[in-house]
Amino acid sequence: MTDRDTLSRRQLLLAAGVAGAAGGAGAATDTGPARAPSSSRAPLVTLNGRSLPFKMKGGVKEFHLIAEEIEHEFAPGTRIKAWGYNGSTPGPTIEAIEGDRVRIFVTNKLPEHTTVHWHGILLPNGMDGVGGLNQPQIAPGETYVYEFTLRESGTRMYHPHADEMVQVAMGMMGLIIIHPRVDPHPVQRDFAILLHNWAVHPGTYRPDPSVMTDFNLWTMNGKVFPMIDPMVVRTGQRVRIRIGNLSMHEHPMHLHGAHFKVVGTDAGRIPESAQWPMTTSLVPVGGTVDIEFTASLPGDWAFHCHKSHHTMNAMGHEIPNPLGVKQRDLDPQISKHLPGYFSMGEHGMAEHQVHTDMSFHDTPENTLPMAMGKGPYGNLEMGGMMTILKVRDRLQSYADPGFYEAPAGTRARRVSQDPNFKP
Amino acid sequence: MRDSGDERFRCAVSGSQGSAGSPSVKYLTLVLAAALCSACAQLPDEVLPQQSGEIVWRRDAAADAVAARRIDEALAAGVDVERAAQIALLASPDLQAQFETLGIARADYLSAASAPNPVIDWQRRALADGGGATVDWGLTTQLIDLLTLPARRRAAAIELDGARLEAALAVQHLAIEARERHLRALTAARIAELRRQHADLGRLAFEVAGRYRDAGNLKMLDFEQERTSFLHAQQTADDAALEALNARFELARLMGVLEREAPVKLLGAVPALPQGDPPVAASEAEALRARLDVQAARRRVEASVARLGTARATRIVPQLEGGAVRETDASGERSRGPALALELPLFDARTAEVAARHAESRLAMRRAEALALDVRLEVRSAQAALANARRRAELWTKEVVPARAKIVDGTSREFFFMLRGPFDPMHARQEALEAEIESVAALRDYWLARLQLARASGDLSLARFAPAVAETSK
Ligand SMILES: [Cu+2]
Repeated sequence: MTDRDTLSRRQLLLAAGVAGAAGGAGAATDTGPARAPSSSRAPLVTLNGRSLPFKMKGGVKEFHLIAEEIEHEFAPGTRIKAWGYNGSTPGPTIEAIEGDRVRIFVTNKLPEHTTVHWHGILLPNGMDGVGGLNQPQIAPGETYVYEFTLRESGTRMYHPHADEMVQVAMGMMGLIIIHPRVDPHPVQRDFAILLHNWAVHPGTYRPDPSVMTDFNLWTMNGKVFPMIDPMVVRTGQRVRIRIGNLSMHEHPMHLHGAHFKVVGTDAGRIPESAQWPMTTSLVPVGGTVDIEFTASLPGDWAFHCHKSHHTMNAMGHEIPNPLGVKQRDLDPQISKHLPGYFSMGEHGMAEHQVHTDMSFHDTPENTLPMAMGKGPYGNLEMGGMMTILKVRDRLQSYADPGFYEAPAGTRARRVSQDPNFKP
Repeated sequence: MRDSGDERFRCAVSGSQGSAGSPSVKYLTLVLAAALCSACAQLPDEVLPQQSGEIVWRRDAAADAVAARRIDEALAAGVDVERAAQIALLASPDLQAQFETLGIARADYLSAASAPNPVIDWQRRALADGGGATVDWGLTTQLIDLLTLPARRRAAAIELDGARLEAALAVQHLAIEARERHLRALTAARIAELRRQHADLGRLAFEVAGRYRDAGNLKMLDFEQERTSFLHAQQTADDAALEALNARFELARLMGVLEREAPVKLLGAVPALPQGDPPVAASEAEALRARLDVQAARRRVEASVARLGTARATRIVPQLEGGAVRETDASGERSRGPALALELPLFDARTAEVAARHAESRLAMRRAEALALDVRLEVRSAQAALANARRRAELWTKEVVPARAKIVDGTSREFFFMLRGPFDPMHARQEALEAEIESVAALRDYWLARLQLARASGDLSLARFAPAVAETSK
């Protein structure tokens, strides 16, 4: 640990983009998220998110979750009516410490009943939150209280277990991070990401809960690339990324520039003997994966789902395949009937982002281009579940340092424009 | 205009002037608007606005030549709706035929309105022994006919009035039908143009499908689907072109210029939907006042009543011949004096004749009543047709066409975002064209209904078209 690691809480909030995103009902209380018993524990960074404040009452940490309909924006250009907690989807992260007794009030401001299930937490059966099985559902307008002791540390989740198909599709979910009282495997950077998928048909403003597999937006903490915060890290730091998945698809999360080990699931720490090095880990539906690694290579490293359609935004999946179709010469004739018509995709879809970025045509209602994002060398041609691990030798703060400048001689370069080039 | 009296067609067709009109009129011309105004005085000036069209009763080669020159000029300028009516009024042989019936009516009038001819009677009777002869001269005439001449003349004048009204009606109907044919030709041409665009999109979609097929990216089913859609669109466009051609022929036939080689050059665009429709109230009563055939029927009733009066008056003395006779007998002695021959209605008391005239007048009255019912029916059904046509035109022009345009726009945007394939915007545009075709047809039907109402109500102001509708597909 160097002194540089202990950035002020305010800087951290700024780095995590919390200052802008805050504003939910719980943000006004005087006490902050759980503090580590020792100053050595790295603050948790929920990308694009925040932690839920609590109050201490007689040795019990009291939280208040409000289930409600909210306005949500995936990226400028798409807004929906979603359901979430305390003004956001996912809801704020609940942070506590192993051994804490927590009391969580849940107020239902939704138009239908709900419950909260504390995914992966061992607790009394009557607190497990399966509506009808463990408790009556919380009717609209009602407040229920859950109270239990956190016996284990690790990454957990919360979500309704009442009309779950609809409520999860609408965005009701959040992370619970239970820190160990003393962390035997300390990290300097601790990031939390909750994966989700959405069926927002282009031109509509509400997720469609009847969709089973054909989702079209893939998010980390409710955002799509490039609106997902980068993970800013100093070279040599130990880094933990906690990834939860409450979407309906598995996501093979892949990290560039480091080899990691999966060190935990939503059932706790994995014994070291059962960990092995990897670059991609499948995050199961309804599960969490904690990965840890040392950020030893400076640079801008992609971190993304390896299902390539999951790093794209909404697009048509049943359209005729334009690849290799020579049709440009017909465009002038067709534009006589359809002004501005031009065919796309003969040589691939990379040109698509060029067109949409340049606004060659009017955009459709309430949807995003399938690929977005700009880097120092051109378009990133991605959307969805993608963000950047930014490893730097020097950092003044954990605010986004901008793009990495590769030292001379360390970047791929053009050596020929002759297609018949022979080295 | 009025001072040139019976040289004007107005007088020949008006009948309301009381003037019998000059039988010697050969060539009657008049500004159309004035003609219709005086033909039915209650029609407003805008009956057939501004444009003056000549109505010429062509009765010789010189008149034909003058008319032909004007028709050529009008055709060369291009035929908009007003000019279609003008050309028809100049060129239509149907109208000329109607004018000739006016000539026949005038002849009937002349014969009925003349005094009875005198009869000269000459007899020579020789004595049997050859000693001289008796010669009688007599000059007599039918006194009753002479006495009833004013009454018969009145009846004949009323009949002629009726014939004039019918000629004016023919002018009205021709003007309306010219508008109708022009409207049909114009809308058929517009629909053919939209169909051609529709087929062109079908061709392009088929070509694009071919490119996808060539690249190995489209299965046979989808490719053949595009082919059949295109072929169908092409055939439909050909049919529409034929309809447009026929509609133009029909316009040329109606105008009476079908024999000319150059095709009629159509000008103008589909008229828009006007703000409002004519009010329903009182329109039947107005129609009964305004319609020229109703007025003509009324004249026929008046004439039959007049003839009945004559028949009644001559029942006591059916025939009275009067005159003078002069006799020269065999001895050369002359005698002269009045002569009188009187029919005694002992056996034929002319009851049959009077009954027949009675029946005739009742017939005329019943026919006028029946016509009034027809007028009411025509006005009512035209009103209903107009209301329905307006709803339909509003539906297509104000709702469906804009909605289809939005769909084209949205589909194009989604295509741009690769949410849809290339066929979707093309098909959406084709459906928009279908909607435009429906809206053109709906506007045409609206104006046809309005022309039907103009005909039914005798109110020619209803036949005036609104300014052209803005064309959405440019
Ligand atoms: Cu994925």
